[in-house]
Amino acid sequence: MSGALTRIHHVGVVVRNLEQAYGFWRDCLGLPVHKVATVEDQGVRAALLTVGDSEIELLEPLAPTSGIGKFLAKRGEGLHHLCYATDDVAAALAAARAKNVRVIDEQPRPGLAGMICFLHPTSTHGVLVEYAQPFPEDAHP
Amino acid sequence: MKTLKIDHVTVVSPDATRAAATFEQVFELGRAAIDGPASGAALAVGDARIEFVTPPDGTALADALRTGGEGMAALTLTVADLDDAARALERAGIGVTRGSDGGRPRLDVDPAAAHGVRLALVAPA
Repeated sequence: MSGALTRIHHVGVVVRNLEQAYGFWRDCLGLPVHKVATVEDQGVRAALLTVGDSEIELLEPLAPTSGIGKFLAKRGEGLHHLCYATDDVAAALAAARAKNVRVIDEQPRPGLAGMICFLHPTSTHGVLVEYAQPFPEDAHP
Repeated sequence: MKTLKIDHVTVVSPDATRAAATFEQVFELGRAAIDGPASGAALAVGDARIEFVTPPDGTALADALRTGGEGMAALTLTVADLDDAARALERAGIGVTRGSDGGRPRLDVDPAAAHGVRLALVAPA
């Protein structure tokens, strides 16, 4: 366990409606839906669609007052965040903090992609960065 | 259509060199070849890349930088066959535009169909 960033785990995309979004991402591009869940504390219904060793995470807000709901109202559908996979999210977070990177999450927490945390985009040129340590049961087929 | 992997994500910045240096230092990513303008830079992460560009005026990415600010602005996926992908998208009524990055053929997908994502498709390198 090192905390090294090994690959892009997923790219997050905000959409108005998951089922409508499947029409393009699943049916046109041919990306299989790997996992779907409601993440109440983030105010989203989310789906992971596999593309090679990575995934596209579609995010539908549960309410306009959620963080994703506000993003949708302000910026519309589109790219939201970039997530790196790591084998040790706590070590990766500690390494970022040691480099004076501003963080959103002080501690890793459970999310759709595993144990996750977010870094603040002001430290990363406007890119909202997530780290994810996937749960063992979520290994790619 | 067979979509194989994420080829790269594109980060737009007024100073692409500085943005790439930040990602290189913070995330300890190695340098990679870039498809786009020679003024940009790219870093490797797994089998994908992050490209950093300062887009020239009059381009869609320049609009993205002007309206959305610095940040992630485009996604490029690798498909098995670019012509097959073009036909599949056109059959689905989705607009596509052919272009190239540094001589590498590229298919730009109508962002309205891709849920606001500036999405490009490329053949395997």
